[in-house]
Amino acid sequence: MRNLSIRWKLVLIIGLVSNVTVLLACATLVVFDWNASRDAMVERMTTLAGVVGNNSVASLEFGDARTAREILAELETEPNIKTAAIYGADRRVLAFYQQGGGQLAPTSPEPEGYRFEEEFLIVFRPVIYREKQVGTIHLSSDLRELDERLGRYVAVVGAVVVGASVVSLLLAILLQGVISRPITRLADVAQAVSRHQNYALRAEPHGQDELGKMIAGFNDMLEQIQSRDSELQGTRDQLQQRAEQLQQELSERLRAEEARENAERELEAQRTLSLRADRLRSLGEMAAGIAHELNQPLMGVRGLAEHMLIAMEREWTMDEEHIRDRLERIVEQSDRMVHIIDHVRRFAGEAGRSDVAPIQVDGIVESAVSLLGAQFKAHGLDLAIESAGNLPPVLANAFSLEEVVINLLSNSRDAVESRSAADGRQGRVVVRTSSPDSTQVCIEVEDNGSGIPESIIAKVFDPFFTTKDPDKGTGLGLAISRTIVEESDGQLILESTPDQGTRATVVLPIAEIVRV
Amino acid sequence: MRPFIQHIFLTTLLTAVLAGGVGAQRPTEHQIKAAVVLKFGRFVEWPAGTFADSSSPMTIAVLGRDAIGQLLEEMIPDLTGNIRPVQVVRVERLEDLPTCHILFISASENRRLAGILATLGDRSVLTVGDMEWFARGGGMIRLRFDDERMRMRVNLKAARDADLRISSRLLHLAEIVGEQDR
Repeated sequence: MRNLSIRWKLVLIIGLVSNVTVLLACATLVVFDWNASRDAMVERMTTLAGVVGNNSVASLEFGDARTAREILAELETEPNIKTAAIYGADRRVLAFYQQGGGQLAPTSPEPEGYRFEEEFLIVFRPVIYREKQVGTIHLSSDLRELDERLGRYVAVVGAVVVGASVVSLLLAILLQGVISRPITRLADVAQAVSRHQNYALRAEPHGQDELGKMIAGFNDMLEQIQSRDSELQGTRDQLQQRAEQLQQELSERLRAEEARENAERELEAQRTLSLRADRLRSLGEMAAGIAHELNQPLMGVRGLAEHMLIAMEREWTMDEEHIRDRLERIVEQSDRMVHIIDHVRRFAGEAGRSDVAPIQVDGIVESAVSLLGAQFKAHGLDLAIESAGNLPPVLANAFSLEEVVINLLSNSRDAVESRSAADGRQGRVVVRTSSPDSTQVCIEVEDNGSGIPESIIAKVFDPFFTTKDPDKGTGLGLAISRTIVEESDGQLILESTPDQGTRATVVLPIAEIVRV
Repeated sequence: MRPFIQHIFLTTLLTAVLAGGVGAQRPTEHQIKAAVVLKFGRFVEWPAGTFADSSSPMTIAVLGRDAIGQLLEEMIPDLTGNIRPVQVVRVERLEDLPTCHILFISASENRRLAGILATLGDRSVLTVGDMEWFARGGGMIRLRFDDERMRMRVNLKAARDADLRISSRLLHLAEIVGEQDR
């Protein structure tokens, strides 16, 4: 029953309701009619008894039994009446009537009234004439008429019920569609939607009744699902797109990274090469300086030795004091050369190493100046040191820092040289050391050279940028210097005024601060 | 069946008419006639104004010599159901006849019947008799005992001329003559 299709449920319900209704109505009618026909029969029999009584008045009064019998004989036209009797006022029978055999009429009258007894309706009715009861009429009728009527009625009711159920079933089958069809369609659509996940389907609209509202609600729901779906799809597409983009970006970035690493490696290699070249150049320069430096004491030694040789040839007498002085001077000059050579050896061996240690910048500066001093003098350039004195130590690699100072001095030398070559002004370079506050130490290399044009000042720290001839500079000096300074947490600042000069400042944190 | 019916008829007639007043023997022809005459009052209507009121007595006169006169007198005390009282008057001669409502004319007056009826004229008196040709001769109801049964012959014209209305119930039992004159 539960799984029966809604249209058959409707048909069943309609059929059941109409059949039960018709049955109840018919049953009510049958009962009512049976009662009514019973009442009518009683009424009719009572009336008939009255008529017979009226007709019998004279017979009763004059004791005319024959006429009374004739009156009763007329009841033959009423086949239902089985017995009848006329009783006189003395309660004796005046006339009898019987039809179709069977029982006889009672031999004495009963009080006015009627009763149903077995298969018969029995009626007694007094005969009143002129306010006097002159006798009693008895009639007894069988109930065949009632039974037949009831039978006919039941047959008709049966036919009506059968007909009504057939008609109502047909009508129900025809009309159930009004309710079931939209429901079935809605169910089909719902099933199709859930089976194919197709939210573009729509149930057919259906008026404004509850079903219509339900279908409209269902369609609204589908629409919402659909729009949510397409939103989701859109978002998913966007995400997909974004993921692809990211993938692409990532691989691009990876490629770029790889390229950069390659470039860096190349640059590193180049830089190593350049460093070596620079080192060689520095060495070259130093070699020139060294040669120059060594030349002077060597010439002194030679002069002293030669002088002593000449004195020996000429057999000059020389007191011991004099000879000692000469030898001491030779030793002094030799020591100086040893010192120079020792310095060069140390520089060559240790430069580029990154061991750091607290060092005094003044010592570094003096060392660098002593290396390049002869060169400056040879070129007729002034080189001076101005030290504030008592400077705190800084944490750096001594030879790297010396390399920085040498680089800066070399640059300044080139600058003042080209300047004095241009206008003959006396070239001058000052190396100044100071401690502007308790945290820093500064080394300034100031010259009055040609300066750096504004257009290129931003580029001077770039590796391989140079304004010098290819055989004189690698373009790495400032770049390396800055790297070295920054490795010691310091700064290399370049200030320049074209045609006035340049000041390079190395700012280094003092060692104590670094340690803390 | 027939003896049974007859028996019933007789018994009924006896009891109905005599109301059990005359003993057990079979009623005579006269007794039956007397009972019938007494009943006529209930089946005949006299013209309005004949009786002063409902308790005014009805007078039954017997003209001539006949046993019925005495029988009537004997039966009066036993009457039940009659609203009006009944009195019986017996006269020998027509001249002695008082105002009456029913007149029984004895067979002894057979030869004087025409004169009697002529004397009565249009008076509203129900004339009853048992002689032959009574109804055809102008009497209103003739009684005849025939075949163990009381038969009545009614001259409707005579009754109508006397302004009397005889109940159809009675007519139902009777044979009607004189109708052709209407």
